[in-house]
Amino acid sequence: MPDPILEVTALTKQFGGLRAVHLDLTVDAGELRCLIGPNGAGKSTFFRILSGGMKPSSGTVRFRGRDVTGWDAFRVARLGMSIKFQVASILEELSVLENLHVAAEFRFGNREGRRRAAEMLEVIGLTERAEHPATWLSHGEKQWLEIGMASVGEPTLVLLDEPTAGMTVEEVKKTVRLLRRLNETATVIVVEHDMNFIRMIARRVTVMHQGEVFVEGSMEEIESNEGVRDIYLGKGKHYAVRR
Amino acid sequence: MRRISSPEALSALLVLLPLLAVPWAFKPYTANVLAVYMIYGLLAMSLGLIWGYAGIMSFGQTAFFGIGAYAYGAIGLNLIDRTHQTHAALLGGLAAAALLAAVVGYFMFYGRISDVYASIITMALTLVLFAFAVSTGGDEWVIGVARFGGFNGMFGQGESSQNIANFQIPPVTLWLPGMAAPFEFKINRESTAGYFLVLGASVVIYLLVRFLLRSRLGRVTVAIRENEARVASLGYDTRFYKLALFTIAGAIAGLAGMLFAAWGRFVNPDRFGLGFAASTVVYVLLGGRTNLLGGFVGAAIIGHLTSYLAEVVPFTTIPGDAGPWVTFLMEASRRIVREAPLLVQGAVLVGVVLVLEDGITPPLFRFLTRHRRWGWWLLLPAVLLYFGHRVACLQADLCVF
Repeated sequence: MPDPILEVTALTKQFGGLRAVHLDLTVDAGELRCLIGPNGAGKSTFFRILSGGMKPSSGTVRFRGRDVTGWDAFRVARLGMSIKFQVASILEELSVLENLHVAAEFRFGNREGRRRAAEMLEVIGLTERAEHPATWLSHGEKQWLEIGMASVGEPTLVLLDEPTAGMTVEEVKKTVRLLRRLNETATVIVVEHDMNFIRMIARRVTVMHQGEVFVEGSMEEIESNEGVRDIYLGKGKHYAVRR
Repeated sequence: MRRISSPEALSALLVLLPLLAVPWAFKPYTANVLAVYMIYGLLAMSLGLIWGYAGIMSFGQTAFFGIGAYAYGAIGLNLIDRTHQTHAALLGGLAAAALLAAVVGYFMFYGRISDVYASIITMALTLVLFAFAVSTGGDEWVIGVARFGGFNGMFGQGESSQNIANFQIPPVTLWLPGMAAPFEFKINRESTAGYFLVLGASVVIYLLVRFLLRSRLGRVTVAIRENEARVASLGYDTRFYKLALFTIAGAIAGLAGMLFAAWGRFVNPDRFGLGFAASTVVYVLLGGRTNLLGGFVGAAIIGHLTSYLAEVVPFTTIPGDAGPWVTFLMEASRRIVREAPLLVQGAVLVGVVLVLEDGITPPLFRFLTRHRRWGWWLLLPAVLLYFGHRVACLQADLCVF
């Protein structure tokens, strides 16, 4: 049985009277876990807490066996966690290659970082655009660039927040290939709304609702779960506040 | 051939050749004035470095300039009679400015103070130093023979100060092993050595900063300007990188301050004042903060405009038969130009910033890059011809035109 790479225990995030996150979660090394849930379920807040962008109100986060609760983003990243944010978060005025170079340089140094950045350019299919400022890229290309930046440093856990938002069908297929490749070397947690995309990649799915883990299981189990349908369609007894 | 025809080489020749020829092509006064523009340019470059490249707007970059100047003055005045050189003063001024920048930067960046507040804190810093410097007029504000002098500025006291040369802050003086006598980089009617010192320092610092921006520190700070959260999530401690660049920029501002104190042989609290702090921001805005030469261009334009406007007197005589409105307009324009050159400078700044978002230098470089063939064949020969003629005219009285 694989060791858990991420253990989240009684994690909460309170914004005034609103409890945005309240959950326990374990992810095993090598998994490709999907995190789904309607808008406002707390998925992005949860990612921000994991990656050090936000301090939790209570609870613990253990990553690779170490308690990283409340660590700064750079320390969490140094331990091997990387993130692709919900809104494409790249270095707009720098060239595509420079974006990847900066991302790779921390781990591999200047020369090796540049070599790895060039390799990653091929993987994400942006070799032709290497010297273009990142701001010139299309929406889908920006998403790939950010996925490339998140993975070029060979992290052990990658958090991807809505990697296919706004993509065409062909672009989604390419993203699936990228993700599978990434999952060969790293554990991946993906937040997504596109159910077709999730069907293509998911082995295990966690459904979040109102900051909590609502249900967890295989895609088939999730799809046949009446409560999940209620949550997404906004009806039925499961839609009510559960606290 | 590709290398030599690069726009960088062309720009370097177009800038450096005239600057090298200035002491022979014009009277020493011109070189002296250009030297102070370059000193302000160096200060503006230090602001451009952290503002344009790291996105940190330091309104009080002049604090480090002033500290460098005062530290150089205090150490120089005390040691010059004994050592006959200013090596320790140079190192001391540089260290004082860098240390102040490091301490202030540490509390700002490790205290996670956002960019707007960083501007306010640095402005407050320079104003606090201004208030302190003006309150040092009393007899107790003395370090050795260096007297702070309050509003009047720093000067030397004691027996040796009866001699005017010892009364003033010393010029940069080197006495390196192997040199028979100390060498003073004076700037006066006879010597332009100080001009070459300032030019040399500007070129060296410019090249060092360019090198720095191509290093990891430069790449990461530019990346921080673009998206700090992203850079932190890649593993970089962004606070450290911002602090490192801020300290380096503080040291450069301190160097400019030392050159200023050595150039004018004087420093007073005005160097910490709000007017000078604002001028530095104007130099960078006008020249362009995304180009390292922008600060120099801005400082030269504003400096030249100020001294030009001080000499211009429009409508020296207002005709007696002029109507009241004409008289009013003539009188008003005369007063604006003569008595408020800052208004005209402000108008120029607003105009330039409205038309050229990036300031003057970046579009100038883009133009030169696009038309570099014409630059090589027309502009460079024209510059060489003009300065060659100036030198021949002044040195050998061979004036053709």
